[in-house]
Amino acid sequence: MDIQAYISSGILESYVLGLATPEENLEVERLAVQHAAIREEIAAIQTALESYAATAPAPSLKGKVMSKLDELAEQDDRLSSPFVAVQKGDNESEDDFGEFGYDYPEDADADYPNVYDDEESDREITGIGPYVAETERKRWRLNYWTAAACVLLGLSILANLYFYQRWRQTETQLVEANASQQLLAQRTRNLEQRLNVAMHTASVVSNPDYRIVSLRPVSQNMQAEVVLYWHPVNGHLYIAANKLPPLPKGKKYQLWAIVGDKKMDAGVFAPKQDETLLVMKTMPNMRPHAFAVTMEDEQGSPVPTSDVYVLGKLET
Amino acid sequence: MFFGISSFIFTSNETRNPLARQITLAEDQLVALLKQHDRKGFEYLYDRYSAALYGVVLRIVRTEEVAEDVVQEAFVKIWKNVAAYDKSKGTLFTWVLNIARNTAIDKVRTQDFKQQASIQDLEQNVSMLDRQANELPQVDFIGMEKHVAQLRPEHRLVVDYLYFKGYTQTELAEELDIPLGTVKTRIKAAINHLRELMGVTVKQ
Repeated sequence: MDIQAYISSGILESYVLGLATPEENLEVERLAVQHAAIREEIAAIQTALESYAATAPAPSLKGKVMSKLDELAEQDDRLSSPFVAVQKGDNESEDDFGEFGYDYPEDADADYPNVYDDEESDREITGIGPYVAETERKRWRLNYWTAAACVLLGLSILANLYFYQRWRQTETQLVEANASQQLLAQRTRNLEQRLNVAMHTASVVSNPDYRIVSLRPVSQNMQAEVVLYWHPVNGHLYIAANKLPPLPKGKKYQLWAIVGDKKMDAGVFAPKQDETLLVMKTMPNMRPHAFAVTMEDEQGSPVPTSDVYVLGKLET
Repeated sequence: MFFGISSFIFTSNETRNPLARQITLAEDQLVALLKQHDRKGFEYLYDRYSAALYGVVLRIVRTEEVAEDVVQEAFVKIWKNVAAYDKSKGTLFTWVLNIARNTAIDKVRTQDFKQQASIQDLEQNVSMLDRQANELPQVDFIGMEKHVAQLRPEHRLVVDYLYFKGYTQTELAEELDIPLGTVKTRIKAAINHLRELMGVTVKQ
């Protein structure tokens, strides 16, 4: 190979200016290793170009640059190697700096987006250390919140079960309480009724205006006792008939007021366990001299059809 | 072993001369150090290239404060992307130069964006940037060496476009409406002239 011709071809200038293709670059590198003349030529071209615009920056700049790089070195140390490997990936840099010759300014439209591409990928690269750390922190924080949420959820479920249980208990208790309340109300009503009855009985019994008529069995072999309470003025008539024999089915006792030889219907009755006084017909303006009880059909009878069970005469 | 490599590089740094032999080998070792994020490697990189990078960046962003920011950003990018560097991408210098230049161009664009976002559309912005860039060669910067100004205008134009603006040869040929071969010839001539002016010659 004619080295001088190669040198004269201008390829080395292209190479140093960064205008050669990757293949040309590698070829120049290969020949430079082999031929000292090419190495020297390259060094001379580069020196000339380096000197062309060379302007010494302020001495303080070196300190700034180095401390910036020291910061990056610290980040390197903090990062685990996989991230460094990612950061150094060929692709990213290829886009940024792989192609020599900036397309500026002719191909402006295509170029402007590149500014942003550059900035974006640069941000990605510069930011990767803090970004990874931040992501780790976020992930950790996320885990923390997830754990906290799970614990809260668990507690919530337990609380729900507990309260559900309590609610069921309470509901059962409420049903029971309602039932017992109704029972009590029923009992109270019963008691009230019985109290009313008792009070009424007491008022009748204790009223001196009532005349008490004892009715006694007519036949000797009958065990019976009936007491009448009769108000001569307003004609109210009550009967206490606890001690009459049990009635056959379809029969009731009937009370008769006897005035002279007339027997007047004073109502039918059937003795009850819990009612001491039974209300009979009100018979005002009547002066009976006796009361009698016979056994008749349920509806009663206009005239006595059976034997007189008990009889009581009024004293005049 | 590390120490050995480092000391080799620093030795070569101290005794740096434009015709340093085995520059390719030294560069390999420097790249290896950079890939390991070795501090001394980066320090060497800074010592070696900061002036060249700063000079290019300064001519793009035009204020020293911004230029310093851009150089810092560029070194950060170098740190982060050096793992992806290989020789098919050219020399280490070309690679870091590209990073610095692209960072600077991005900076100018985002600054213009911020200033004029609501007023100007993309095309206007581009032409504005273009105008700005065209003005570059007329601005004298502190530290601009006299022999740069001695370059023939067409040579200087070619170098500026390729070096500051990152044009490809094809783009430059289209921009200047000259054949690609002419561009290549001019580049070679410009760099040769530059080398003569700077006394960087190779004994043949």
